[in-house]
Amino acid sequence: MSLQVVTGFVLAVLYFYTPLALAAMGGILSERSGVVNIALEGFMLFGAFFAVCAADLLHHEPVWLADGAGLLAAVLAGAVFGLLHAMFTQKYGMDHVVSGLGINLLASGVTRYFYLHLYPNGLSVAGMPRVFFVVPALLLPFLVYLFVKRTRTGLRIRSAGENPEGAMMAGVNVKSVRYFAVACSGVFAALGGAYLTLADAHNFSTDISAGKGYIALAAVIFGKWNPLGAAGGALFFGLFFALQTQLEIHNYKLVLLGIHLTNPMCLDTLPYLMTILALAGLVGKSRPPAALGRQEKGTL
Amino acid sequence: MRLHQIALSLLRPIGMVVTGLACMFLFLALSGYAAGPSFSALWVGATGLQFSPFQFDAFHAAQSLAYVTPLLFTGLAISLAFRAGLFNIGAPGQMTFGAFFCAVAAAALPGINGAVHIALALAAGCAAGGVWGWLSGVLKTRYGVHEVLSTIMLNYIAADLTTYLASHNFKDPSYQAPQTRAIASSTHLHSIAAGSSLNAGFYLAIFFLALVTWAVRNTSFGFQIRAVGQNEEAARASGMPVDRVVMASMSLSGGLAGIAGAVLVLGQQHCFVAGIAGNYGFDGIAVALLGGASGTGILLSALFFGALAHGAEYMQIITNVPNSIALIVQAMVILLAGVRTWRKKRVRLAGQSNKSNSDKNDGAYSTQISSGEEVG
Amino acid sequence: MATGTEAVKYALRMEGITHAFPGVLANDHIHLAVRRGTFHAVIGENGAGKSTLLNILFGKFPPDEGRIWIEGEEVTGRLNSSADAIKSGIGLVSQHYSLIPALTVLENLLLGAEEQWIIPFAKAVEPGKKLAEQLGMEALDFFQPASQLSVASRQKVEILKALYRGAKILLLDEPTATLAPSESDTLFALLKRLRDKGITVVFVTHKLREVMTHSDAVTVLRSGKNAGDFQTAQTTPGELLRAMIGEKTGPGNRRESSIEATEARVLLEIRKLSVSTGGIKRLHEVDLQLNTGEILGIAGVDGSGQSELVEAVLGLRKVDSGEICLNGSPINSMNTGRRREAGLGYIAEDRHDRGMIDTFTVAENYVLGLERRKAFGGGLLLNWRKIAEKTRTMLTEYDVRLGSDGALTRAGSLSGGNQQKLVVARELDAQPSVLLACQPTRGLDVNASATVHQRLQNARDNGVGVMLFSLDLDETLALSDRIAVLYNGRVAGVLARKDATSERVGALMTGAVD
Repeated sequence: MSLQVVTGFVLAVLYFYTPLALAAMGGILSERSGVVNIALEGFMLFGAFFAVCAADLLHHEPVWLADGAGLLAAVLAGAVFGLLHAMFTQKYGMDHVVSGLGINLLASGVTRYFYLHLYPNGLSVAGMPRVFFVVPALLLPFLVYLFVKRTRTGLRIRSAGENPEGAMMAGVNVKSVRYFAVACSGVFAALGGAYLTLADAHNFSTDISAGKGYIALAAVIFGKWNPLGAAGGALFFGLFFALQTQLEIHNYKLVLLGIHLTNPMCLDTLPYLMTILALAGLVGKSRPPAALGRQEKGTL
Repeated sequence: MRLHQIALSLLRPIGMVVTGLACMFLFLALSGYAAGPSFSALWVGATGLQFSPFQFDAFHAAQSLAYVTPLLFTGLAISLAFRAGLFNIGAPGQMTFGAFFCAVAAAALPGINGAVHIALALAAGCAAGGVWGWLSGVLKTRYGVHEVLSTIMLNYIAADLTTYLASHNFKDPSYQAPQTRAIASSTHLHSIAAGSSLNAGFYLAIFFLALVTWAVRNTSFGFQIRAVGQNEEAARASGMPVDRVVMASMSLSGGLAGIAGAVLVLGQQHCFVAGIAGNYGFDGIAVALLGGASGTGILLSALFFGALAHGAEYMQIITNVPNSIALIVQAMVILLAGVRTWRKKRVRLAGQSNKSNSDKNDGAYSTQISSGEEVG
Repeated sequence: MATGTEAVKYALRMEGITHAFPGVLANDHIHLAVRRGTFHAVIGENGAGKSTLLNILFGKFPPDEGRIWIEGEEVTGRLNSSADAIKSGIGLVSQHYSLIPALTVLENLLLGAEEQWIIPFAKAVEPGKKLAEQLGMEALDFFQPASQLSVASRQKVEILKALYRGAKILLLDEPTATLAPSESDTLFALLKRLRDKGITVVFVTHKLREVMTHSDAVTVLRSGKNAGDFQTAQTTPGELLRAMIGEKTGPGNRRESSIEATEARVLLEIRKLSVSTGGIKRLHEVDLQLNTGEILGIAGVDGSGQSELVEAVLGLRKVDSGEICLNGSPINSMNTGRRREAGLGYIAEDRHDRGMIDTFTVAENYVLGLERRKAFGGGLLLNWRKIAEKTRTMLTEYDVRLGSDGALTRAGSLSGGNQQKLVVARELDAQPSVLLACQPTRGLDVNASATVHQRLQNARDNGVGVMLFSLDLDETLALSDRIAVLYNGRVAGVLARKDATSERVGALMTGAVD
């Protein structure tokens, strides 16, 4: 294989990896604090849409300003909807899954509605090079790892997800820790969404996140709720998607029992299958934070 | 139930619907659409009724009911799982699987009596959806995988696998798109209103709704489902096979979703096409959350969402308002349904709950490998 | 009240502490005065109000009334969270919830007391190590997850954690409940060393032997009220026991068994049953026999292994070893359903958790677990008319009066007494050969209790073997034909009714005799 093919392949992997890793880091923070985060998908979609909206609004300004506004919009959107998820689950005692599904549906409906309403002819932004997202996405897992492992806030996040009663007895304000963690998770996932519009597609299309939030969640589980593991999971899934494209281009076929195993559709099932097996403890036991998703009783 | 109780139980869902529609109004106003004509178009599309001059357009009413049909099945499926304390968000996958195997079975069994043929095809769809649901049940009871996670993954797997099969082994060569061969016209569910997509599947949906509602109430197995859903500990202590009930509930729920797919194939599409399940699987969650545990609730709730879907489509044609506004209403209803105002907090006396199993995790990803069944 | 000089002698003073839970006055004007640098025991039966007192002190909930001083300074109204209590120099070593298993020892020490945003673990370990050395815990690995520690070390780490935050008063909630005797000795040696360094130790316990050997002073609580303050050196176990359990009223609703001992045969036989939870042995080779026509009372302080025993017999819990035979045949390999069919009845300790389903109607609760019986429809279907009819008969028989909805009333809306009657009726109407009755009269008024007692004795007279688990010694003494006492997961003794005086049983329960 020529060098060109190899670099092309590596880049393709990284392009798939970046949004997954960003959202997965969000998933890590939220889930380690004890809040189930199906809503990553919705956060991504909101981030993608608001980023491109803001960038389009300032498209007469210098590119850096438009891009900056786009990023800022994504961050704000992520924080707002993250806080919403935290409020639903922590204040109103809503089932974490119901809240997540509701937010995802809201994201799908709201972005589609305003996209069709505001941009009936579509839109396109100058955007920014992918590298502005790829490099941070490569560094972020290490930062999140250090954050979770070595900082006061990180320690409190872990304690809230493992044993909120114990954390409370040690003097930790579990609720505010969770609000913070879920808001951060919204921000990261929204940035992952911003990558899709600002750096990847340079426009918006309905449901552009296309399940990437769920795949990021799978990466979190696959990586055993560890930031580096989740990044590994994102990389692995990225590798897979890039490989699919390659196999398709080169028309490579591996057929077993009449089933074309290297078909993209067949290959596509593998990450999900692996995630199920990981959850079932068949490829290394994946242990979730002990208090994940639990409905807290009494005065937390 | 007495009248005031019925009124009271309706208060909550009506409040949810009104809030959802108020939200819709807000969005319309915010984005500068004229709310009046939009709502009137929505109403006409949803019901076919027009007041001045009075007119009834049966096409719209029928089309709304065509939307209602699969929603009745998926809503019922998800509601049944709720009864057992399970959150089945795998209806899209189970439905896809059911649709695919129904289409394959219908195409593979030529030359038998129409009614038998249809029954077999429905059974195939039901069985396929059931197997897909059963998988989540096994993963939960044997391996401690929470059903929400396993069903998310299984949804993707079902979509990918069926798309692959429909574009290779079972492909109809005369089309570009991934779809299976058309089924014989003798297996079509006959149309109820000419020109619309409404077909006999609607009667089937009503029949299943009544059947399941009746069975949950009047069979000992239905009783076990409800007991496990309401208080798993009490069910276990009273000797019920909790794990088996969980697996069976997931299978039945998947089976109902499978029939939803089968009805789409036999009644409307007449073959399997990738993406046939559309949004019906997820919409069923809103139907179940709004409709609650009663059969009437599910029926009304499915009617509402089905009519909303077609109404919004019609509204888009008439007033150009994007029909995704229906999704926003749906999201609002789900979020409102999630707020647990009705669940009373139980007051525990301090110091008396030193129970040995207090460390048990009842969370969303809990790994409850139950001990009751496999004590050895 | 407390004058200046007097107050300073006390590390901790509580006056007139009152706290009510719905339906229960858990603390009724309780006072507690603990001198600085002493070893103070708080004892009492279950429900005496000890845990409530500790929780108030640790800021879990404020008292309805009463004042609190710490080191002579009034802190009333300032203990509103654990963080407040820690700030005031209080450390709590509870049985549950406190250490976080997934975190390392050091992280547990630091949690909530971290000083910098980026935690300098290498530096932060130093004061911890120094403290550990002073406590004789040189071997402790600070970078090991807490989950890998033994139960005894976990407890020591809890103590370390409290001291690391500058606790001057250490509260321990039944610290020896899960320890082996030798581990308990080590623990008390450690606590004494702390006392000598000026730390005040308050510990709650059921075990009189520990109190007599280790404490300096004792406060006894009974039914939410003070029942005496003693200097350990000037009292006897007998005196404490009397203060603790009070004057026993003796057999109230008692009736002798109508079945002659000679006709009796063994219904339930438990042989060398061992059970453990999370690596901790909860039952050690328990041997018990239950005969036809007898009520076997199982006495013991809470957590002596009662719930493990019940769950093991029911098949709700895995056993380590041992055999359980019902009517002569082993049931170890059966699931709960099969065991119930084979003749096992169960009145659950907490009816809301296990006994019934609050959201179901009375009739639905009446068939819970019996839904496949012929009498209710024949297996597949449920005949609600028949069920409602049977339920109505039962309601009349047990004198449960309901509103116009009758059998269709939501069970959760019934009074506690009626709920319990419903559970008892269901379990007895299923005609078991063995009935496990756990706390059958908890929270019931006198009349409801009397009905339940009468039903249990009727069942016994019909040949049912009843195993009665009660934390109320009065009840156990009143109903039982024989009494087995559990202590730390072992059978401390089995007494015939005539030998079972409250002193004798109380002494076995609290480990005051061997």
